[in-house]
Amino acid sequence: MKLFIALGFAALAGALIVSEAVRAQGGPSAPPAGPPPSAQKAAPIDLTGYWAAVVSEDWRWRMMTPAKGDYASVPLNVAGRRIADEFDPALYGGATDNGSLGGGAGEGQPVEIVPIGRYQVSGIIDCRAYGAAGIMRMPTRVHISWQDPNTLKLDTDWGQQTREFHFVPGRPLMNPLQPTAMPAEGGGRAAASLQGNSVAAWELPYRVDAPFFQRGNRPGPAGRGGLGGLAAQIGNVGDTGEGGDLAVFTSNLAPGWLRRNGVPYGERTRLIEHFQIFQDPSGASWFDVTTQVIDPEYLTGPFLTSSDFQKEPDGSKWAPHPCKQVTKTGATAQ
Amino acid sequence: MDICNNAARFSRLTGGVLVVAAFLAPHLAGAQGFLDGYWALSGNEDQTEYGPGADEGDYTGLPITRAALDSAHTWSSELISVPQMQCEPYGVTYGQRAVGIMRIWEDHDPYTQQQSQIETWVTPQPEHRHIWMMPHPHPPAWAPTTWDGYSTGKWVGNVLYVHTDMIKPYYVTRNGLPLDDRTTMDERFFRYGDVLTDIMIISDPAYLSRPLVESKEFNRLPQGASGPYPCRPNDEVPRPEGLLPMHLPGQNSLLQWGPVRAGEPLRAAQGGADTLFPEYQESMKTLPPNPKLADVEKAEKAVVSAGGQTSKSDSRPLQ
Repeated sequence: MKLFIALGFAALAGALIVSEAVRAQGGPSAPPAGPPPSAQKAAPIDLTGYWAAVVSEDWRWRMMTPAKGDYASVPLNVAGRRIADEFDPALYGGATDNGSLGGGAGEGQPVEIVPIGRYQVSGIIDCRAYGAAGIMRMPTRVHISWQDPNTLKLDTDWGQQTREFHFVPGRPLMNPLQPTAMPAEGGGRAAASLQGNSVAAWELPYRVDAPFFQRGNRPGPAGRGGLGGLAAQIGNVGDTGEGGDLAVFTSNLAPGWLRRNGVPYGERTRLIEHFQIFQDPSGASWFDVTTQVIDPEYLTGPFLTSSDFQKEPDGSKWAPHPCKQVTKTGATAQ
Repeated sequence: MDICNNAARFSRLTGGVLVVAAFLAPHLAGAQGFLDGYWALSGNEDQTEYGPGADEGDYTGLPITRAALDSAHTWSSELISVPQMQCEPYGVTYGQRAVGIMRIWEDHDPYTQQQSQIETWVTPQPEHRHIWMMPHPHPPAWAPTTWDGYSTGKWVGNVLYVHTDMIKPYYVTRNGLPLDDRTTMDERFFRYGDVLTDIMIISDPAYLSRPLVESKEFNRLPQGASGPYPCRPNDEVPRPEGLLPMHLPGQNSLLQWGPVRAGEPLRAAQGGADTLFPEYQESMKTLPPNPKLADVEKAEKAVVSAGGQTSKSDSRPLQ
């Protein structure tokens, strides 16, 4: 009797081992030998094209320069609030209490004459509001294109910034906190910048218990995937390769602003973003980017938002607006 | 001996079943259980909706029609203190956008163990949804609409698609912007690790000029809890029996204070699809300045002390 029970358990253990082995090898559709396909070729979703931010959330804090000290919803710590409270609306052409215009050209400089008053429409937007941690929350159009087969480029018209998402086929990211700074020419760490260094990976439908990035890579019928990880096993279409999103991890950032009224983030900030596409009932295409800003210097916890962009047929509405670097002595275009 | 033979047969059968089950397990698992658990709404967006609710007259960032605006101008914030409305739950188009916790769990067909429905419970205002994942009869057109509507869902990859209709008329926001009973909502639930994003696409032929897209984030609560909703109405504000707080059309004097205090151009505070796009940052520079807040407050006080209401000018063009 004991023998039969032991044999039963042995059968179960063997079955589990075989099952895991099949999964580990990618099953019957194991990827072919050879170099992994480029990120462009492996893309499960198409993010290229022109897109416009549609500001139906946080309108007051995104379309205008919020009032000084208005950092509602941002988990700022004491140090962060201290810096945010130093914002000087007079430098940016914002509203003033008496209805007249503020400055906009720097302390002691001529006032920028624009027909605004008593509400927070900036004459000038500081470039720090267009750093990587804040830019996807700003009202702007973006143009996404492949700079090369493994680099996705995102340009903005407002702020005129360029973000580069670098893929490394065949070398998956397993730890979101690992250093990602790109080495500078000649060795060493690249200088921090407004857009920092971004590494990217396609995420295919994944198991919840899989590692952080690269959750699933069973190549679909179009040869998708190939960046390492587990097989796609989720849902009724998991094996067909449908679904997936773009994960982007950014670090090596220069200090910037989460909002255009000087709500700060520091140089130790890391950024985790997930880009996903969807359609509305009218058939219009959108992408959503869910953003986690992790800043141990000025935030008490992750700042979590998601922003939505609607696809446009072409770049006819593209309207470049340079940001400016504002100092006490004046404002200069970037 | 017979006992031994039966045991052997049982063991062989069990082993065979377990072998098959072990092979099938990863595939049957699918997306089932993918969203299960407690999720806390992140409070990093739309602070006014999570907290006090938007002020009367503040409809920024909403693609509403002129009809919606006219209706909202008759709404009074005193309505929430009317006993008959104190315990009114949030509609399905709003519950996930308000402060609270959402519990998600799944039900299975007892015979096939396939996912039959996904249920959600949103607190503090009760919202219990049934998202049917298997064929289920749609209510007839004459059936009463409900706060939670009728929802069907499907998995696409590991993204949950949900369509909801038969929704009882509720509000776009808690300051009186209405939704029609023809409203539908399409949702996409994305999970990224311990973060859940619910993209809500709300369509209403009467009060929205284009779909309203709201995307909300939730953080997973490993040990969450959600309580019941023991709401009991009370007479919180003495008022004559039968009095329903409202503003007559064109006579709401309370529409300017909120936007002016927040520094929003009065025209932008009236919403509209054109205010949602980046180019509106340029358009705003051509708008007339707001009145001074002190003047607005002075006018309101005068109206209140006189026991009446002033009319307001409304320059927004018809859409």
